Amino acid sequence: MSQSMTVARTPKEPDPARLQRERVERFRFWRQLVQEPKAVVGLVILGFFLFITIFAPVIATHNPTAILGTPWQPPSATYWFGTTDEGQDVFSQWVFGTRTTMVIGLGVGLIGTVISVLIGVYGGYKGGRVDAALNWLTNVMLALPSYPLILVIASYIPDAGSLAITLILGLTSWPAAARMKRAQALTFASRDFVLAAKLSGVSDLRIMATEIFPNMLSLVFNTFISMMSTGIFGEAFLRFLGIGSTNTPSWGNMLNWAQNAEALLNGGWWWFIPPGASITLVLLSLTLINYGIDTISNPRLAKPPRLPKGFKLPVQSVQGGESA
Amino acid sequence: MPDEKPIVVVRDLVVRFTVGNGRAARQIAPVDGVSFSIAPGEVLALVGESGSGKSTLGKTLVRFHRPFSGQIQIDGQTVEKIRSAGALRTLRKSTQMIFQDPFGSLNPVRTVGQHLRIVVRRHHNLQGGGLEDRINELLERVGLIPGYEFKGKYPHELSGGQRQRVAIARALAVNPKFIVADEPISMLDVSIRADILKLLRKLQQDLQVAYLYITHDLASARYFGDRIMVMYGGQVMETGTADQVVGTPGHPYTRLLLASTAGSDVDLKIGETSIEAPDLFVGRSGCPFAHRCPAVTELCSREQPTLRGLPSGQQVACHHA
Amino acid sequence: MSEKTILDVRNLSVSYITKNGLASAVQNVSLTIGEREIVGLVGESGCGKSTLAQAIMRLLGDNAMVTSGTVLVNGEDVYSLQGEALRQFRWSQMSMVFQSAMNVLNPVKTIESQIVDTLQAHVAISKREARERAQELFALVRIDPKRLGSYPHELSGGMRQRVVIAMAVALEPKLIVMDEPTTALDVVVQKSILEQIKELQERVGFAVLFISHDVHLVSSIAARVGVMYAGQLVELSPGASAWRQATHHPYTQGLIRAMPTLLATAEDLAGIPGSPPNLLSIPPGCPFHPRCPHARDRVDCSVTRPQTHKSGDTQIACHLSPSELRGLDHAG
Repeated sequence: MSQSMTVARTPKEPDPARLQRERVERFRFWRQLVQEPKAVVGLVILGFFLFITIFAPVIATHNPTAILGTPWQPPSATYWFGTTDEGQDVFSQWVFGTRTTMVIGLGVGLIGTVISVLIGVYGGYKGGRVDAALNWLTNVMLALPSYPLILVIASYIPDAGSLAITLILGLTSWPAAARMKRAQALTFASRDFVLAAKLSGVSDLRIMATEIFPNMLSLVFNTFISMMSTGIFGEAFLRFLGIGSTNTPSWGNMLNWAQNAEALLNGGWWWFIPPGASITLVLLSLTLINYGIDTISNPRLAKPPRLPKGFKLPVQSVQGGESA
Repeated sequence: MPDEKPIVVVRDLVVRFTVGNGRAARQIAPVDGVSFSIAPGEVLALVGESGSGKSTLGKTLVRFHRPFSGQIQIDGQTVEKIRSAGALRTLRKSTQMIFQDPFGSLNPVRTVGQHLRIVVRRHHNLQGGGLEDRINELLERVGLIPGYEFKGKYPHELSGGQRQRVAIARALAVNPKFIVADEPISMLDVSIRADILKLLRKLQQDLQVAYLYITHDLASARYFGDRIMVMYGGQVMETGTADQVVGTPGHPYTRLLLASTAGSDVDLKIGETSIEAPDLFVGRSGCPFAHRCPAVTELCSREQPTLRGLPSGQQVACHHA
Repeated sequence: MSEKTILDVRNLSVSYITKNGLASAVQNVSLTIGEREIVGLVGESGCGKSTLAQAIMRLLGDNAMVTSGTVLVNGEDVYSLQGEALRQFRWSQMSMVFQSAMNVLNPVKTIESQIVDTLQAHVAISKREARERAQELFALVRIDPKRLGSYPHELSGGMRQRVVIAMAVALEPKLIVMDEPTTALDVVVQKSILEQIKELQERVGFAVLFISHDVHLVSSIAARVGVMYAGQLVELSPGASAWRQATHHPYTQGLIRAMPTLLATAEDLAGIPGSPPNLLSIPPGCPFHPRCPHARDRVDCSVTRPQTHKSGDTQIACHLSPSELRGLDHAG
């Protein structure tokens, strides 16, 4: 009756090494991610900006708000990104602006993900009236046009700082993601292993946390990245329109200031190109990472595997399918 | 054996579901008045096609569905009225379930060891070395030898048969007296089905576990079951010992099943009316098999037959048996 | 009876490209099917039977390669057909019935429109003529033509499978490949579908390659039965009434003993220990030898690949001679 071991094992491998390899299998997801070219590009770009975010005070060359040099200077050795209309260092503004905006982006990502997970998974798993109520809430929020809503809320708060902006964006952008979480949680809630866990006496909360949630990780990552994009774009959007505090440097604020000072007319391209390009690059990097995760999670999106190097193919072989 | 108190007693069980929304909502009764009992250590094979209500019945016994009416008693506990989570947990100490899909019944992101650890820790209050020993013991009891080699594996690293063994080990962890096995072999490769059935039988003999073995295959029902209960459209059509039901089938539906199962000597041609699904809607009258029965009469569509004993020993619900 | 050969598979080998190398799913398989003949193909998951079916229909995915051999259907080399010729060839000369009808039927179109589309894609007929043909087809598979306007989800599983069979028969192909056509269905429905297939085959006249994991089912319906294991055709024997008396490969013997039937007793039931080999690295010798109860005392089983012995209507790939196998079978 004993089940004999599977016939094919790579022979001659000592047992401890095999166990070690299997433990490493858990990080298969990360290893695959760094092998996917789109994701790598995205991660590199994002990593660059995260680096600046973390080391902002060290990287910045000057005090961003101090009036130091002659106004409207193009990039030079002292002021790497030139100066503003008042003579402030654009580079330092950009560095601290990166920090501000990225933190907002991460914050929105976190809040949006947490809320969508809580609402989506709880509703999808519990079903019944709880689900009906949460679903109704989600639908209502979805129906509200988000940007006008954000504008209205933001305009009620004078001088909205970073925290306020983060909260506003985070609390309004979770519905679409919540709906997706709910859909996924619904499929898992009726899977046999969840029923088996209930039968083992595990409480509902533990089931949601340890049985359902770990199976949704790739969707959760996707959501975090989307929320982060929303946060960064949202910040730029709001601040560019002049909503919220316009004192501290951020990418949106830089665009706002540059706009107000008519930088384009004055030929001061060095003021709005860094923030604009940064927004574009970060959003691009996040999208690429998302594509990378999708490719890994959905095997059908992957390109057909290429033969390993040095493999000799028999002479007259025909590729399957239409191409003869 | 006959004097022992049955471990499972079910009386007039009815389960209803609502289908459709709003005004189009109607109720169906996939289990419509089912009664049976199972003695300790006995295997009752429940045979039916899809739509017969057999899976619903199995899941209701472990309280995944709420019964509309009727009584369920398992190991002396009254099951149908259970509401509190605490009482449910007590029930689940004596009753467990094995599912049809070996891969679906295991959590893809947890190892075999983790699956068992949750259950064993909770039910036996073991820790550390004692816990690991018990897990090894369970794994080896279901044929996964050596236990420690399997503990660290994820479900996708196991074959279908191995996964099902893990599921069986998980069910055994609480020392249940009664296991509902819902088509445990139908999704496994042919060459390993026999071994799993043999494992279940060995556990039955060693641990005196009673089973409700749900299947669509009369042949495996006869192999594994001490008694067979044939269901159709939510009701019991025939029930008796395995030899009685297979050797001298009383109900036309049983004969139809036999004719379609490999190795039988019953030779029937299946007409096209024989392939329609039963009507499960609440409020239907008469015998649920009337729409397909070759021997149907007017009485059959009017009046629902009740189980009557036949001279050969089994019970049949048919007006014309 | 000199029957025309409809399907001629010669030394076909198919491999899948994986990142760990080539996995040989089908190895050097040769098989012929005559006009109006039902040939069964039995094996468990991973034995290559589905790959073989897809290779015949030229439906292999991009990661599969036919590394050798030819497939001739009605004399035509399937793999030298191109584009439009291939498209026309498919369905009018050979068609396929898949396991799950829901994989084939479009859930948002009525059955009628799907049959009409299929017909019009291959034959130049008017919509009216196509509709009439659809009704004929429904009558052939015994479904009420009134159901033509239904959507797939409104029909029962058995009915849907009949629709799929009707579509496969629509252009009266010479060969129909059926890959587990009844596996997902209830046992009574399954029997009725099998009866339907036999009736259709007698009436319309086509050859069938019937693939399944259920050896009892296949042996009851097929004139000849092939058994595949780890990509190789290990046995090809007469089916139907001759099946019980035929000599079988040890794997086939194992399969027969592994499925409970109404006639077998409890002691007869036995599984086959172990599991199929990894297709990336098949061990030398006979692929079945690690699991074969007869290989224990023999050296050649683990060293050399067995030749295919032909004796009468049976061909078996095993080191033991047919008389040895016969002796072991009835003793075990």
